[in-house]
Amino acid sequence: MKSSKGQQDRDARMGRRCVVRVLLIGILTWGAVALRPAEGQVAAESRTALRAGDYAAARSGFEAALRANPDHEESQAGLLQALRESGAYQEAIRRGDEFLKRRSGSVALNYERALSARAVGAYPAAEEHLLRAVKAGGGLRRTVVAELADLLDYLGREAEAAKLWDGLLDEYRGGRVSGSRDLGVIARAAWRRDYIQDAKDIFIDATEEKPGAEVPLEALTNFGYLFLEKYDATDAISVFRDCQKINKGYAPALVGLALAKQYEGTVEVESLARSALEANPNFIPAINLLAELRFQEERYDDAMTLVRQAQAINPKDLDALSLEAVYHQIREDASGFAQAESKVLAIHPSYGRLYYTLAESMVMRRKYQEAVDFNRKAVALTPGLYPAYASMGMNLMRVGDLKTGRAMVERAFEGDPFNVWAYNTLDLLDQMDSFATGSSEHCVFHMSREDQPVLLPYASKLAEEAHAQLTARYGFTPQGPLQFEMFPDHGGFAVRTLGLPGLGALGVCFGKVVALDSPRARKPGEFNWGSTLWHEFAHIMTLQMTRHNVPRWFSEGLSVYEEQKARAGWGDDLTASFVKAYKEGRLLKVSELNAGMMRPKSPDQIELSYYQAGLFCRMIEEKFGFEKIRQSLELFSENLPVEEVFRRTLGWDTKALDAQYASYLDGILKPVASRLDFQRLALERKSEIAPDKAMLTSLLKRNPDDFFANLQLGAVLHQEQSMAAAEGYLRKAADLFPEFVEPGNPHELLAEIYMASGREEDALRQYLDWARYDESAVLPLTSAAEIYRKRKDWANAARVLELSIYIDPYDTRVHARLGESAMEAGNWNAAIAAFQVLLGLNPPDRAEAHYNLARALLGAGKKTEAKREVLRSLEIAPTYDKAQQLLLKLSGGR
Amino acid sequence: MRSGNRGGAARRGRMICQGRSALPHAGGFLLFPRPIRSYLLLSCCLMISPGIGKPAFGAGQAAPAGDSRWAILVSGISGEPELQKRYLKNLTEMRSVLESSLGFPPDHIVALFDDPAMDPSRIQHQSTRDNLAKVCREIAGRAGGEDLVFVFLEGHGDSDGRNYKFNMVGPDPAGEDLASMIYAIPAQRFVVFNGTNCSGASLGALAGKGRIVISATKSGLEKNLTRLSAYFVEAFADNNADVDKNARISILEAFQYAARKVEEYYTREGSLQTEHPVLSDNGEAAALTLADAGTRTSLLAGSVFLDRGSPLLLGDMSPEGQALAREARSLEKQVELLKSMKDEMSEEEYLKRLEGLLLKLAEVQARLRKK
Repeated sequence: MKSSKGQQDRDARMGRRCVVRVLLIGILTWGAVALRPAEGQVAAESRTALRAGDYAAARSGFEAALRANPDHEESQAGLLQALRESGAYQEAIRRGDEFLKRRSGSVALNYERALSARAVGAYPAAEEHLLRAVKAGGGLRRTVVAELADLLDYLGREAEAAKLWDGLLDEYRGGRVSGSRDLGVIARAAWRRDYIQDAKDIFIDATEEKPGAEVPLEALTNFGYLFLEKYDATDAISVFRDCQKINKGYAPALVGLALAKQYEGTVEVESLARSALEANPNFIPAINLLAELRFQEERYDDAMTLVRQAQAINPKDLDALSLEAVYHQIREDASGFAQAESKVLAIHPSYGRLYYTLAESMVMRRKYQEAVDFNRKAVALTPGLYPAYASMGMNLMRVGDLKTGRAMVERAFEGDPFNVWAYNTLDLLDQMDSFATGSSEHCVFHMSREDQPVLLPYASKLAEEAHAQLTARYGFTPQGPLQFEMFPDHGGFAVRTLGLPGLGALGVCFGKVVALDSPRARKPGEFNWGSTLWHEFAHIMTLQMTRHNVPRWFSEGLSVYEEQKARAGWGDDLTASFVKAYKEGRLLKVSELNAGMMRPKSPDQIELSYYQAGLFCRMIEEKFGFEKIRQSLELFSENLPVEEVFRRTLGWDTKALDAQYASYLDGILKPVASRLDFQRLALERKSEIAPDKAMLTSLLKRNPDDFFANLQLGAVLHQEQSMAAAEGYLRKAADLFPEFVEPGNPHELLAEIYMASGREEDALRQYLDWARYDESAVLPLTSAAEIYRKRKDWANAARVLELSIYIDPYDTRVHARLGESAMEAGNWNAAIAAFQVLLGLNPPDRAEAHYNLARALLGAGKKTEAKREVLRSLEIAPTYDKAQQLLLKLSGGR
Repeated sequence: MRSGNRGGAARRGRMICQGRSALPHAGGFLLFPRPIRSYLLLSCCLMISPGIGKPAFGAGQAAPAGDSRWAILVSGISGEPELQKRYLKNLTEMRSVLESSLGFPPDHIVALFDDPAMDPSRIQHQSTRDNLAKVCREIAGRAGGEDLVFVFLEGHGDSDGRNYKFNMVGPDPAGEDLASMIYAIPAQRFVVFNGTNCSGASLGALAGKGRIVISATKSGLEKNLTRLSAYFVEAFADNNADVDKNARISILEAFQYAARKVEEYYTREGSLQTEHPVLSDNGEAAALTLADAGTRTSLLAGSVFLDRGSPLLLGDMSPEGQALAREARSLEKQVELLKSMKDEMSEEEYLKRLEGLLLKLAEVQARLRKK
């Protein structure tokens, strides 16, 4: 059919219009592509910022990308992640819901929405979103499955969780898993199903740096937590530091680092937890950790404030609820406790960890039996909670039940061979199997067989003396049997105390059980084991009297105070470093002393805090009398807060207490502080130039009471053998600061001068002054003993020799001389004890030791035993004339 | 430590001595009346048998003519002034003890030191290998077959773990060189004290029958400075070393005293013990540590002394005294025998029998003291 010309024209015009339209559309499209920002690129940049922890940049980048393309899924998910990781959970939830309206099946969005829901305790919502994400499948599937399994575990639905974990492991076994992120998920599954070594190996795979691939931060962080769970703080710290290289402010890694640092007991724990909160102010694990630190410092109300802060974010956080239970338990608020307990069990019906947390808080408060009771509940609910078995075992040992304790520790080790506390404790128990046991009226002693003949006589005598004196003074008899364990190596003592080596203490008290270093554990002169035993005995009193409610600092203060009363020279004394700390304003208020002991801010703060606590007790006694101390302890037994106790006993609130104490310290320290010029000393040390005589003389002209100048000049003159001149300065120094007993002290130098010039009386005075301020110096005691022996002052000779045995009990000469002195003084029983101990030390001259023991026994009227000993002497040395004569005498002079 | 290669002539100890005593030499083998012959036999046995030969009174008496004891005291190259002072002190104190309480004739003691000028009255020669060899040859020309030679080595030693060298001024003699020099002396008994580091490596060359060798270290690998020498010297001056209370210090007692002091030193210092003294007794296969020596009852070192010896051998006692002394010795032997049977009886029985013997012994010795 032929068309008309008009139709042909119309067709041509339409065709031309079509071409133009196509061209226009093409141009416009091209223009749109050229002019719109490449949201993929922005998203990528924002992701980089997010990974590095620059949440502000990440948020603004993702927001910009979404303004350009509101439906850009990657940006949506990225924004949600940025919000969540910076703690904006509610906003993440709101935006997540918005995005999901148009994309309800998105794996990434549902995943992020679930994580934010979980962060605020909306567990059903979290589960729902995770299920949706699982159903949707996709590349994130394994990550989502793992998160779901983790949530189910958290809610106590372990069987369901196990299925999911096992499913993931099956995929791995089937060789269907690749890529770092998914390998990280598999490692987590292996960890949860207790394939620990496999988990570690797979984590290594997952977190290995590969070209073109990023190390997944979540996998790396989980790797760190695996090390942490298995007590490997060193590797944990290393991994968390690797996390920080990716994202410096990554809160989970910072908290992990803080937990690892807890092993070292450093102040970093607090600062790391706070750093986590800088990045994410709502990161609950960090808030909970800070609350735990406050509990450890016995700042319970501050701890609870933090717990409430965490609960405001997530009222169903199990750890926060557990800490709330701890608070109510401490405050003896049964109703509050019951409520918190119910809330926990409503979320997770078999959450044994609640009771384990309570047990650990009991341990911090030295309530070991209560810890045992809570741990029993923990394992009853969660049989696989092996740390609870370990804790139970160690605390059973602390209350004196070694047998059951051992069984529990073995159980813990069987279930978790990585538990280093269990391992060390079992090792120690094997060692203790070979210990010897002895007892006195109120006490039982365990110590090495080598120590038993030497230490048991003196330890039991001292412990009974402490029992008699302290029960009378405090009007309280501790419940026994009181058990003393003396460890021949420091590592053993540390493990007995903490389960780990490396403890800096000398002794520890658990209420009825005391563990301490044997003098064999350290170099002679490093410490005084007698004063340590007395110190720990005082803890027995204060812990038991107060049902273990006494604050740590006050118990330590009383122990230091009691040491000083036990023997002249025992206990801490004023030192130059204490005066220096005073001058530098580093001494603490009474209200800060607990923190000083638990969270020392400097290496010497513990030592300073102990002495400060002792001074506090001395202040109460001086101002109010000892009875106020006793009353304070009775009030502590009622579990009253510190402030209330001292308000009732002393009439002072915290502010007044701190002020009075500060004034007391000023009274003691100001005079002596003015005599100690530390600045000049520091300058000298820095310049490495010792001042010469002229300089020192000139200094003393300006300030005759400069202690260091007097000592230095005295020492220089002593060195030059100008003894008469040296004596003047050294005596002045001794008068200015008699407590100074460091090497080269005035007492030491003066004693040398006096001995060299035959002035024994003056020398004796110096030795006794030295010993009065230095409980661990043997030399002044043995030197004083020699002078006493020369004068035939046997009683004093024996007295000072016995004091030296509390420092170094292994010197055979000391026991021989003590025995002789005691015999000369007619103190036969002391002589018998001394010679028996001497024989226990296997001295070179056993024949003489047996002979002397025979003499002492004869003196005490024990003829039969005396004969036995003289035969022992002659058995070694048949021609020993003195022993022969004694035998003849004992046999009737045949 | 012993090696198979001893070097030098090994002299066998002789069971019966032929007379270096106070009795006049009459040429040839004299036929003495029976009591005197048996006295000679007994006295020689007393000199050799372990655990016997304990006189009623102590040593420290002036040496009569013909003293059969010799001492060679050598301190090798010192290395530095503080050590030189220490070594000089040990050497001269050893000399003083030998002369005073142990009664060595001064001309029977030769001392060598790296710098004789520091004490020319007590040091004769510079401590070189040649001088040491010369001294040994001189003594060899004067000593007799029954004599005792005491060698005291102080200073530094060297070892590659197996072979030992004593550091002297000039060339250092090896362990074998020392052995060949020392054991060329025709003596019956040798007591060699080697207080140098690495001295354990010298045992192989120096140990042998009739020889007691003490070394400061158990092997050539203990290379740190040693402390044993001063304590060894002290043993002869300190009553505490006389464990069996017989007023004499045996080589065993001196070793035990000194070794114990070394242990105490390191314990006091809180340091790792880097020297472990050992005693090689009469060529036994293994050298004894302090702990080992304490468990042994019949060591040659327990019956060898540096002092002059039993007054019985000196012939200082009357016949009655000698009879009492013999009875005392017999009782002592019975005590030792009873002790060796201790495990075969109850404690009560043992103590009863022990008491009986000891009472008799006490009575005999009380009478002896009055003589």
